[in-house]
Amino acid sequence: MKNVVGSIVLTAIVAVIVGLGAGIYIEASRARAALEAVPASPIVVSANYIKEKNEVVFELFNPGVQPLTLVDQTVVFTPGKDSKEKAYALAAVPLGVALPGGTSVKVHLALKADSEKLKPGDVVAGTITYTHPLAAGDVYSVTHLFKLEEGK
Amino acid sequence: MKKALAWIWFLLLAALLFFGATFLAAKATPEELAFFLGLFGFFLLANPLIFGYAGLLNFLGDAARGQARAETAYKALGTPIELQDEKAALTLALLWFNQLVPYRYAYYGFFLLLLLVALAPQLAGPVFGWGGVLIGLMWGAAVPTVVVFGLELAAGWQLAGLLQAEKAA
Repeated sequence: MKNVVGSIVLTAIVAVIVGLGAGIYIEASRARAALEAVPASPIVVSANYIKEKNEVVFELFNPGVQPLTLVDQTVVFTPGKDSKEKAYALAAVPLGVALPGGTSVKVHLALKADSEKLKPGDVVAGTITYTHPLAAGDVYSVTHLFKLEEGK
Repeated sequence: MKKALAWIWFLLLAALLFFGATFLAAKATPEELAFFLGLFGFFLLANPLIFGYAGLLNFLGDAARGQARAETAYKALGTPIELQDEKAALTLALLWFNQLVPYRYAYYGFFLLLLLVALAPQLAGPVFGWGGVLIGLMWGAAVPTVVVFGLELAAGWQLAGLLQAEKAA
């Protein structure tokens, strides 16, 4: 009978290991499903000024799984010390760009036509509005401040 | 009265199982469904082994007390041979244990195949999607495998102990 007790102990150890593994796996799958159901906010991973086209390019990344739709963009220009241009805003320029989960897209923020090129110290605030499928009627926004540094 | 109560209990249990399984399937992630598929699929595959080793353990327990009924073993083995020996119980148990070896080999072979198919893609880095579902199948299949492993171990050790006692006597 001693051997049977030994086999029960050995089987119990294996059973605990398998139970832990299966439980952790199932919990992880549930946690992942819960996280994937939450739409993420897009983040601006890079911002550059292209002098030739007189536009600021934002690269937006969707860190979540849910797809987002970028609705429109607003550009607010604030002049620095060197600039003679006056402050202005270009509101609600339509975009209509789809941003699937885990991907990034480049958004071109065109500055006002016939305006001066950006000088160091000028600040461009770009606001991108977006929607996600969980609240189709609501519009969210992300604003990124871009300041042209010296020597660029 | 007692029969009616038993029926009510049975219907209640059936309804609970039905709704439990329905809600589980409706709310489950694909990985969980894969886990249950692996669990039930491999339980079906392990059926002859589980019942075989459980029956053999019962038979061995009776044999240890000297109360083994040879008819049970003849039924399991499906053999027309009848042993008239007084040590027939042990011989029959040995035959029974060896009869289950091909089933065990096939079962562990299928499990090993699933293990390799599920784990090999993970070597190149964690794979989601199909890789994750295959791993769910593997964890589900691991549960009946533990049952088979435990029963086989217990039956084998008890058989070995009885054989040793027989040799010493």
